[in-house]
Amino acid sequence: MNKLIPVFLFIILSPFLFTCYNGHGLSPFVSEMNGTGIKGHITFTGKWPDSTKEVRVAVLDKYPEGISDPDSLMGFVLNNLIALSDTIPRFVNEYDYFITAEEGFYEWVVVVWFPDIPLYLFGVRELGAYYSSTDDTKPCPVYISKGSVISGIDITADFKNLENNAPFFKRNKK
Amino acid sequence: MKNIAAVIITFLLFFSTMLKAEHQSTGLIRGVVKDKKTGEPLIGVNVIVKGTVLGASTDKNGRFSIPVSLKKAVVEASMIGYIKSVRVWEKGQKEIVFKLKQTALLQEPLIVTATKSKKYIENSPVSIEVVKRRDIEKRNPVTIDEVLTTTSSVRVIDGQLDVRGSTGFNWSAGSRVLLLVDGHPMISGDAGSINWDLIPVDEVDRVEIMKGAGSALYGSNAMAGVVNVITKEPSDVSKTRIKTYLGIYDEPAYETWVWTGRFLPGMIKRGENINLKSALGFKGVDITHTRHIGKAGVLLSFGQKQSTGYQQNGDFVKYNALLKVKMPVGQRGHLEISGQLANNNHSDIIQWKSQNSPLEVPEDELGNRVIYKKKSLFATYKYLVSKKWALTGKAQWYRCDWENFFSDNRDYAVTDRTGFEVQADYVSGAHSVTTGIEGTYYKTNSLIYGNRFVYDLALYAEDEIAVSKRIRAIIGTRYDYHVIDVISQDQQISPRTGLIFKPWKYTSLRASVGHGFRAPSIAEVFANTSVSGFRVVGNPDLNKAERSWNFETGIRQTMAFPATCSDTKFSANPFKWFLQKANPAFILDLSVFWMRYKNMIDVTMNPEKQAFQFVNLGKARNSGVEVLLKTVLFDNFLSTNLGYTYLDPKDLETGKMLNYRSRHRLTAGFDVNINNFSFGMDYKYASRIEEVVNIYNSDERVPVYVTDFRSGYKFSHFRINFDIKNLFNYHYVLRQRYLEPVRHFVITLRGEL
Repeated sequence: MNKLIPVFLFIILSPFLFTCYNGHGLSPFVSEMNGTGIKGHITFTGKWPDSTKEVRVAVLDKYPEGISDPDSLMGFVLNNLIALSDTIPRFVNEYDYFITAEEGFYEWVVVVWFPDIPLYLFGVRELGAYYSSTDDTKPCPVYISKGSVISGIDITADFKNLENNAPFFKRNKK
Repeated sequence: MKNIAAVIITFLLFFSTMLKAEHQSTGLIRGVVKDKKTGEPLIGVNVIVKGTVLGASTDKNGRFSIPVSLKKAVVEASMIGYIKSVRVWEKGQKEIVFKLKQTALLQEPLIVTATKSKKYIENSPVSIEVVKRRDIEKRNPVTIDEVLTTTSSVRVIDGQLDVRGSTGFNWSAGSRVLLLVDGHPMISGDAGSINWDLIPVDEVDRVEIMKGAGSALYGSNAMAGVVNVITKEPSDVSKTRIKTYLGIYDEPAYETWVWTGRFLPGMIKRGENINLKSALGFKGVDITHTRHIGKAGVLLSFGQKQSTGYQQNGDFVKYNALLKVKMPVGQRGHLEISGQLANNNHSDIIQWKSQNSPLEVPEDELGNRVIYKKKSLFATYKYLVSKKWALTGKAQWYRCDWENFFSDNRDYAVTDRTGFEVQADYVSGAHSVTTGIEGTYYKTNSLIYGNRFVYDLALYAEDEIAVSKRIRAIIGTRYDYHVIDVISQDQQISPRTGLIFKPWKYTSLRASVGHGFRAPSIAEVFANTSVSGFRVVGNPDLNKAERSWNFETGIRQTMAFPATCSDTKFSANPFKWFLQKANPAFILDLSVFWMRYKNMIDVTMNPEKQAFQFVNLGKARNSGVEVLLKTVLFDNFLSTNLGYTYLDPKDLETGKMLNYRSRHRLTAGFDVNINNFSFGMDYKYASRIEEVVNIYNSDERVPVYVTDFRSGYKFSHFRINFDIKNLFNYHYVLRQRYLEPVRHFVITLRGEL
């Protein structure tokens, strides 16, 4: 029996140790070196309000053309949100962002502001979006090809946009 | 309401009439149970008088006595690891001597949860899994829920029990699985949630997990299952048990996640002076003393646990105490009283700061704390009316008092749950009838719910019929009347029927159909709060209980291949040679189940109120397959377990999978015993959670692959263990934005004097 012990220990342990290891699971947001997504530079203008809970970059499938009432926009955002970046550190003037998103055509890359109210996703406002240099009437769509990182998606985020008592997701033109 | 009162009075009158009619003079069956091979007395053997409700357990000398009023009786003695034995007793006989023979067959203890009476597991019409004392001790859990998740059918998210995909994540509001401690409900009166702190882990004898609808006997909350924690009995001889442990957290796998220099492995790596006091870890001590004082068995246990947590806001200090007294009352009665206390002061984490800082919380949530104070008092009185009748009376009181100390929230609630139950068991010929009446009153004084009350009244009856030697049938039902404050009342009828067929000695086929329900909890109807950016509003229209129909069929096969005396050589017959060497024994259990829910209660976002709210959703279905395999090889040198559960939980309105469920769950483990040394591993896999409440679209979810390692060495009256939990430092979430524990090392010393 004693002679068999090492044999059986090997038989038992081998499959465990080989099959149980599956890396480390969840990881920090992948860097642009090994991911697919969008990166760019955000320039903040105006004063960060004290009522800020957080600011993030959002990527949406579509641009909410023709939608203005908050409830419809809320539904629109929930249905079309593709990716939401990590929280941008508060009170910064500039920030280089990277956001993971799969291959696809995205109509709206936008910097969003979350108010410090006891209500997640409500009262969210647009600080700025990505526009092309030739058309400032409508945000510029971004196409991400397979395995690539689209750089240069720079955005100006202006806190003055919060002063307008506009409905949910105020349109902000450059 | 008047009709219900009339029914209850009639029921009680019936019992009192029966009591008078059945009370008769007594005799005594005395005896002793020994091991056939060694002649040693066996302690804790179950001895029953067949065809009656009479029974006893053997004491420290292997002796038992059962008061009877019979001239002749068939007496059966059974114990795990031994072949049960039957003797005939006749009046005037001095004593019966049982000599039990050991068996290689894997056996489970007698269970009590399936039908509210003692039963062999193979006679249960529904799936039952038992986590035994040995399984608990070898894993060194801090709370008992850690052990439950080593079975594939059970998962725990934020303390909330999920049996076979019954429950997702509802912020601990409204459990679809009922937690019992020694048969008494242990769910909070306000949220209907489960509190694990009151259960001293080292004083747990076993945990019975009943899967599928239990509402026919247990009412609301048991719609998807019942978990019954059975605590140890006070000992006949004076004993003191002590357990102390120390744990250290390892650094997360990614340097960017290291949020403090207090990780001990980090201090070692950096060559810093080691400061154990500031290192992130946990420690605890449990002390129990048990003895007999006069005729009463007493067990007193005290525990303290302390942790820094592995993340910000992860620290806690917990105290718990248990006093259990069991004493005979006259010749036919037994009284058991237990009281529990738990104080828990812990920081609270709603969500992490970000996926790049998952062990940190947002700055304004730093220092958020919750203080819990829980108290319970349970009493059980059992009275043997006659050889055919037994009565059990239960009373319980459970107070849960909590208060938030958050930067943006100071909610509090003090909720009392008071209940009673009278149960009668009747055995006659082929019938074993269990019937009873139960009442519960919940009252809460709180900021979050207002001052509210809820009450339940119920009647139940179930008959187990031995149709033939191979076939048993069960049929029963329960009526519940449920009132939620002044806003609604509801009635439920929960029938159940089942069949057990044993075509061969060690094969048991089962099938059952049952109705389950869960009335909404106070929290789901009345909670009005906002915390960390989330607002929840009450829903007075939530007045319908969620309901389900459950169907299950399964097979249980026990098998052993005892070694023969002949010494077969490998070259002559390799298969026989292996069997001879391995001496294998196994239990295989296979189940197919199907559940259909109506008015399912779940949390959803209400755009009009701009808040989360609990509502009655539409229809849902959950079906699946489960396989369990336990084996023992080489005379207990090696034991293994394997469990796999396939789930298909679907929202029938949207066609999507129900939130926070994994489709595949697998658990596997083994233990190797070499003289006084043992080691083992547990592996858990759950496929990626497919659907969640859609508030954080960007959050990643990964499958779960967690491996735990354990080892132990026994010397004298002590045992020392060294465990590594989450051996490969795998990072995962079970609900959004809460990272489950990183790798940690634990040393435990346990002794019994």
